[in-house]
Amino acid sequence: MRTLHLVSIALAVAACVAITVALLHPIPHNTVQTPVTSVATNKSVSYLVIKDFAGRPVKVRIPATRIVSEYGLATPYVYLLGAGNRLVVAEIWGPASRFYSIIDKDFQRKLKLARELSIEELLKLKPSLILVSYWKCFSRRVKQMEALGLPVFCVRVENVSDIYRFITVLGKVLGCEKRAEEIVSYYKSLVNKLRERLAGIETRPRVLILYYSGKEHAFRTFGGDMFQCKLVEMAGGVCVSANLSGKKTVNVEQVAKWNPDYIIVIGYRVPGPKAREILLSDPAWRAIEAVRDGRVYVVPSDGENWIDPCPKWVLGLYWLAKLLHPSALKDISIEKLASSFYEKLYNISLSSLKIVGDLRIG
Amino acid sequence: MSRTILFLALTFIALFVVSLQVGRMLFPIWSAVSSPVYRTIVVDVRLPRILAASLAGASLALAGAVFQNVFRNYLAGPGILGTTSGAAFGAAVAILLAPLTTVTVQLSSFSLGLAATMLSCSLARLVGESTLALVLSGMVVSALFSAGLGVIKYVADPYNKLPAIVYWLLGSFSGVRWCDLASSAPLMVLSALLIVSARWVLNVLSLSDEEAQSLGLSVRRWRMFFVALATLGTSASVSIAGMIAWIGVLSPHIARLVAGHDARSLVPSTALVGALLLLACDDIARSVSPAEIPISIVTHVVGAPTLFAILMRRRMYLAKD
Repeated sequence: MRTLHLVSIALAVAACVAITVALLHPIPHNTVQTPVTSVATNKSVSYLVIKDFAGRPVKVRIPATRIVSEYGLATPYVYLLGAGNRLVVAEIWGPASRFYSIIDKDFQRKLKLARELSIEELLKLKPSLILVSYWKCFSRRVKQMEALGLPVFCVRVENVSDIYRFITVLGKVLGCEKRAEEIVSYYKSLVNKLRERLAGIETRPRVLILYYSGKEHAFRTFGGDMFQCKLVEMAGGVCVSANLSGKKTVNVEQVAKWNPDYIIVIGYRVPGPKAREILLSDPAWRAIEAVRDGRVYVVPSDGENWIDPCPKWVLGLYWLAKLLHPSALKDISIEKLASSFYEKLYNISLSSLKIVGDLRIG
Repeated sequence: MSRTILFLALTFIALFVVSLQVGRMLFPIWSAVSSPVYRTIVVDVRLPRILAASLAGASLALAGAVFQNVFRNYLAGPGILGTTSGAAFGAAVAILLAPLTTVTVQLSSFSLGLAATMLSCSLARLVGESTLALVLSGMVVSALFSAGLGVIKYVADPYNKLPAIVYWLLGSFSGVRWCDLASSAPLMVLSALLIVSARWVLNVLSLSDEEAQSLGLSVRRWRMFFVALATLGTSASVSIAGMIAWIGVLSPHIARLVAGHDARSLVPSTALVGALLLLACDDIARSVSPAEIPISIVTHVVGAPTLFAILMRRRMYLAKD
């Protein structure tokens, strides 16, 4: 009887351990390198079979005219390709709605729909493409959508090559390949130009990115697997929190141990300047050298933070690089770059936007 | 009796000193005298946090002991009258509606914690005067506020507010400063002192209502007195650190093992055990990894096996008898 007890306890413990290990084990998601596309023509309508970021083939009728975006990080790229008017439902990341409300007068209605859309109502909208995040790809909701014959495309934008690939695929589906190509080569040329500039740098400053958590005086940072940390590395810096994963709360002591040269503040729930004010007025943060020396900067944001995985990431990259290596980018004005970026991609002038954060640096 | 309390007090003082030394930065404590950086870390980062964890641990443990005695139920904890669900709901409402000021979060959590308990008590009066009525109306109120919390989580913006609410519900002492202590520490100290000084009454309250009344005690008045104090302590601790699991239920059980069932020694021992437990858990939460671990995760991991060990020990005692 006693042995039976012990065996059952051992089995339960083993099961718990196995489940924990299985949950902690990272799911490999780099199995698909490039989208395999093929065109199947059915008399008058054409279909495109594309592979999404989860590696599943998705058959889409092209050009897609009614797009439902349930992923806040995917929506901006539809606008980037100039196809915002084809969005019928548009989810967005928190404060970013400020920018998209400016470029699309109907944005708030589309956003409201995204927050309360049942499967049946979704079906009524007759979407030609549904964008969901890759971590929701195997959810019950997505399975239901597919059972109803809806084309679901799982999106991942965790690094720069993800972004290039997403823009390219989206260009094909929306029928604006040329614009997609132009945008990707614009990004690539800017990245290459920066790489040349940074080729001779001798030091790589240590950078910590922070945002205000839901609790007083507590700040969170990004791990090495997050886009923001990767962007710091691209800008010729060292992301001190690279050994963490995801978003984590860090305390003053850990920051003192990392001893970053620069602290970059991002604004989400609490706007960046306000978050910096909280940080600077807290006596405990005086233990940090960068705080004492005033090297705490707020990422420029038009609602969307420039260093988030949004279409403005390249501005964030240059802003970071200019901050970390002012002498290498002496002749480059972030304001001029941003101005031409917004004109070229959104046909909107920088002065008509309210940019929050430290736009002028160096 | 006094020897047990002395032993616990000395252990607590030792852990307090060790905690000042524990952290992500390793340096000898005396270097804080000469280096301003180390001084800031010890005085402005570690010390307020250690005090907050100790006080919250003692308050939650005392609330647990009070509720277990008053309701004659060893599974009772600070949540039994809906205090914790009320406080959680209050915090979530504040995060949803007033995103900028965390003072509002504390205030709202505190007042809704109190309100939930008062609601349980007044509902109980409609049902009947017994402790069973109180427990049942506590369940009703708890369910009500949990549903409210569910609604708020459902409507909260999933990118900004929901993570803040979830983080808050898991509890953390991260970012506790002197100014946070100033608002909640007096309430925790007050409730703890009053509970400890009136502890002998708990012995009488743990008898049946009729027996207690026959000893000349106004059962209803004293019960309300203790419930009010326990709620005050719990709400104050929730308002400073969010939700903390296990400490309230577990500490009285451990204290009973070392100090016996007499409330006169049990109550101070419970407070010390609670402070010891939560302080140790918070030391783990803030120092084992570069990222902060939410405190309830640590208390769950420590609490569940400890309760099991206590149950095994009780079984051994029973077998001996």
